[in-house]
Amino acid sequence: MTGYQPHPWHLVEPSPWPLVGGSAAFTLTVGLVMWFHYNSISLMILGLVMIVATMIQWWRDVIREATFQGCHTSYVLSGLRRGMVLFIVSEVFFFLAFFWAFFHSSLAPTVELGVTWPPVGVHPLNAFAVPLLNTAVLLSSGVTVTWAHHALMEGKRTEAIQSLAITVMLGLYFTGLQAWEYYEAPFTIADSVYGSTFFVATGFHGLHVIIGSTFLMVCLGRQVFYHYTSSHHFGFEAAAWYWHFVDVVWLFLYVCIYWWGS
Amino acid sequence: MFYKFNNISGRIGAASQQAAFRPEGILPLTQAEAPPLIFGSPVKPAGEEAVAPRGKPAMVRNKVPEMQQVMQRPGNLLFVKRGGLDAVLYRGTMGLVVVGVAYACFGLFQAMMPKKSED
Repeated sequence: MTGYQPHPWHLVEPSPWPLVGGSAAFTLTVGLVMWFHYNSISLMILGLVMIVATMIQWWRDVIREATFQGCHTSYVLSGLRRGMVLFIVSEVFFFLAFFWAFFHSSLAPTVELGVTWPPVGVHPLNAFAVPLLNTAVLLSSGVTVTWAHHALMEGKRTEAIQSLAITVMLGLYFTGLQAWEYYEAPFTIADSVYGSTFFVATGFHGLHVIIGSTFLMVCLGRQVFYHYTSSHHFGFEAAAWYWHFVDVVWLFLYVCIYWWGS
Repeated sequence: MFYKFNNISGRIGAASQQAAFRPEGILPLTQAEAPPLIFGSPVKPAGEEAVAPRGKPAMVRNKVPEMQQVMQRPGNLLFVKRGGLDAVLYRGTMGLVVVGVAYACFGLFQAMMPKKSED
């Protein structure tokens, strides 16, 4: 990116990562089939290692292009913003499907469920115990991530690191509480459509919390290593958008599935 | 306040935020170094001590300028730009790709031809 460039776009260099990522996805898929059919996990583990290697190296290259080569001009950033918005919209519809399944099953419970919701024999979790604490934890993390953003915009390096670290810790605390709640739950994923909708919806949300926490941890590392400036920190903004999205999904899960559904 | 280098006057002047962060369209500079700035009193350049509170030395050194030089050097493709470790990681990953895809194809081939049971 040295020298004069008569246009604002980023023309990417040849990269092996799309091919490597595709091969990793293929290996992981066949690995899952091998696990399901032959109870052998070696190919699945290999596929997972390949996926992780792709993620690390591909995103490392994106950081190189952004922070070290200066390829992310305002035009490029505009494309990245739109891409992230579309990605989050697709995630909204992903969760919409699970809420659809939940309401489909709970608004008109079938005879097999005892024509009641929660179904006969299923004892749901108390919405005003750990789930309420989880709500408070996630809402607080939404506050601290906004604090981090303002600290970043005002060039307050130490404050940004501290607030981002608190956000990550709150995310990990949430994951720990959810894991404990799953362990303690008196029903399983196999306990009628209640268990299925509950664990699929909250489980995918938990997966998204883990992904969001990882994203924020990467942002924390980049902030420690001076990658962000007060005006150029889209990686952090994307993580914050994603975190708010995860937060909002939790509010819907809490109100619909934990509270109304019990 | 945002600043931008003015090609015509050769000075740094006020600019809008948008203009300050749009490097595209700037013509190549004729002079390699910025004109000397004149201050009323000696000015200490902002170093790392400026970002660490109360004059304590920064715990982490800012390596971004060095990395910018390394990554903007012409030569290798981006994914092996840093040399040694990059090349090892890249070759290791490509090795995994060959092994993984071959193993997956072999597994699929095996699954396509189930053995007939004896009974």
